[in-house]
Amino acid sequence: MSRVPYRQETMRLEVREVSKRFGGLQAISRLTLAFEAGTIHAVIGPNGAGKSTLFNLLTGIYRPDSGSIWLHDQRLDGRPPHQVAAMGLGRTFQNIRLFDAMTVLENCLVACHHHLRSTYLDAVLRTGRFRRMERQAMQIADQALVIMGLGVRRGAIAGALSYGERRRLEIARALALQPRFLLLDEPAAGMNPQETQQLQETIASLRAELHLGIVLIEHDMHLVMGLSDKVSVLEYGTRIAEGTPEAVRNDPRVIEAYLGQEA
Amino acid sequence: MWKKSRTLGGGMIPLLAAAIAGSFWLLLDPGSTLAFLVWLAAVLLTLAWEGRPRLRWALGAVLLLVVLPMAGMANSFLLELTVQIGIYAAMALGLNVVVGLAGLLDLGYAAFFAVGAYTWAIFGSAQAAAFLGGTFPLPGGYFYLFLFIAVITTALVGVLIGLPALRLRGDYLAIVTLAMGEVVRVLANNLDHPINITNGPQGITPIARPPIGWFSDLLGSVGLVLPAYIWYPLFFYLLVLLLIGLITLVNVRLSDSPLGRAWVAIREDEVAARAMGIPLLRTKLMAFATGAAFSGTMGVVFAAKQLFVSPESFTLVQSILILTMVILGGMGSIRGAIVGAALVTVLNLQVLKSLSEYLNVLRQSGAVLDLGFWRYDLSALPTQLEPAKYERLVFGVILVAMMIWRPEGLLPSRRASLELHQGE
Repeated sequence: MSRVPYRQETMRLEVREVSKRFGGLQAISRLTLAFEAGTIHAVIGPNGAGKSTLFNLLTGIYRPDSGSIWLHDQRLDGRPPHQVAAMGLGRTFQNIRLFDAMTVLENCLVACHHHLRSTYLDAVLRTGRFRRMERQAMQIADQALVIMGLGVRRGAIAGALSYGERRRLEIARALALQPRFLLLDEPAAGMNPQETQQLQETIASLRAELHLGIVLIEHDMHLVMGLSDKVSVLEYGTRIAEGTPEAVRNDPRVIEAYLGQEA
Repeated sequence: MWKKSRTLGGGMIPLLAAAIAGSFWLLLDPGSTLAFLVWLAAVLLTLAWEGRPRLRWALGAVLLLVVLPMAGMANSFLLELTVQIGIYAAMALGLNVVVGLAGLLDLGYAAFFAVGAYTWAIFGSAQAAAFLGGTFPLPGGYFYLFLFIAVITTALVGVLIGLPALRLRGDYLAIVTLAMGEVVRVLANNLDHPINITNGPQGITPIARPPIGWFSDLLGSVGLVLPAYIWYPLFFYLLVLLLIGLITLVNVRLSDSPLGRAWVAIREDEVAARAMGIPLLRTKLMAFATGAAFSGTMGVVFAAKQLFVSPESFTLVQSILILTMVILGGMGSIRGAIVGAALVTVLNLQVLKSLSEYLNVLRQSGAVLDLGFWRYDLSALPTQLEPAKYERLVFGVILVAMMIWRPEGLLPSRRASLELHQGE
């Protein structure tokens, strides 16, 4: 479970021939996709196309029925979610899942702990190592909060934040994991145009400054087209198109999937 | 919306008044239940009070280390009662980790207390010779060692019970822990054959007490020459205070650590917690083992204090009682757990009993209540009217009332009060 060196330009997150079936529904079928570090890669498609299932497969919540998932040269499928997270996949959830009773800062601190080595006894005895680790975690968490514009809210209870702030805190928490890839599940859902605009700038800066690979599920086409380097279109669990936003937008199969066949 | 939550200790004046009144009253009349209640109220107010840490510590020290021991010399039942409160408080602190922080509803918590108690009971009496041979009981000095051994054995039992149980969530976990708690009790009840390990329903007695020659010497060397019958009550009282102090310290430090935050995160949202790198089973096991260890240590103290253990002491009602304490005080709140334990224990051992006795006195006095329009012959009070037997009813009512009016508990944790009162 060793961590892959940072800022490796060639780092890839790959889905190879993955299938997943729920009862009679083939949610994902023989899907192959590759995400690159330093790019924003949107995954779009009609409702039920398998986008969120793909995220759950990537992060270890589901196990693929067949196929494999790779981060650089390490296999991810079959590992429990906490290991996948520790290896560098941070995610947000479509329906926000914060730790509501904890403060904004604590939400992020939770995500910092997987890479810190302080033990039970360290905590009880408050050893120097414990204090060092806590300081380090605090720094990482604060950084993530500042990036997402939540620095001034660090002491607030997460449950008391406004909707837009909650969406941003979810991203900040995922950033506190110090991930290689950031998986955003409809980050702009329910946001007003100004908030969406602000979010777009923030996500763009994450790619530029942290060299993160960002995988984006989003229904807001304006955001997708304005932000993505690459777009993959799913329908019925398979990829029907892939390319630059421009190319995908004009692809007849995509138009058909979204609008139905023209008469 | 909720009323602004005020802590119990609003000001210094009522606190000091209660402390002074309670102390003098208790010293003048050590047998008075009311005096004890005022003293206890002063202790709890000191605990709840937010301001002036130095004054708070000083006040607490005087109340706990001077007033009560002095009153206890006249009435050693006071020491007995406070030790009982202390044992429950320590267990409430342990259950607070499991239920309050990690959100794992454990209805079999008394099992760990049983394991701790039997750990010392078996080796601190002739019982171990029944299946190991050799010469038992171990010398009383081993008691101190067993305080630590019990931490390890009960933590291991916690992991053992937790491994299968903690794969379940919510209601299912509650049912399984309830069953596991019963399993431990039934084991204690039946492990007198084929090999006699627990001596079955008869229980184990006598259990060795720690030698406390050093303690009475110590008291003597600071000029306190006390009658011998007070040594053990006083010793257990101070030991329990010390253990509660230690357990509280561990509790505070853990809850403000990565592990404590992981516990709360799991309580709040398991899926999100896993996605943030928290290993679910291991973190839950840590909560179970920590809670179990606290309870186990107190089990050793309990066994030595009572000189006797039997399966009767570790029933489901015990587990529910401790849960009541945690909920009454405020889930996840350390001070709350102590306050809850004190209130429930006192209600159980002192107030209800006193009420029963009082009613008895009324009944026998043959007095007649005469309100002019309504006469009632007090000797006709039904004998079923016996508050001491209503404990389960009373605790049930307390739980329901708390859920309706103050779900965050009497002394809520910072997180809970912020969450429930954020609209203000």
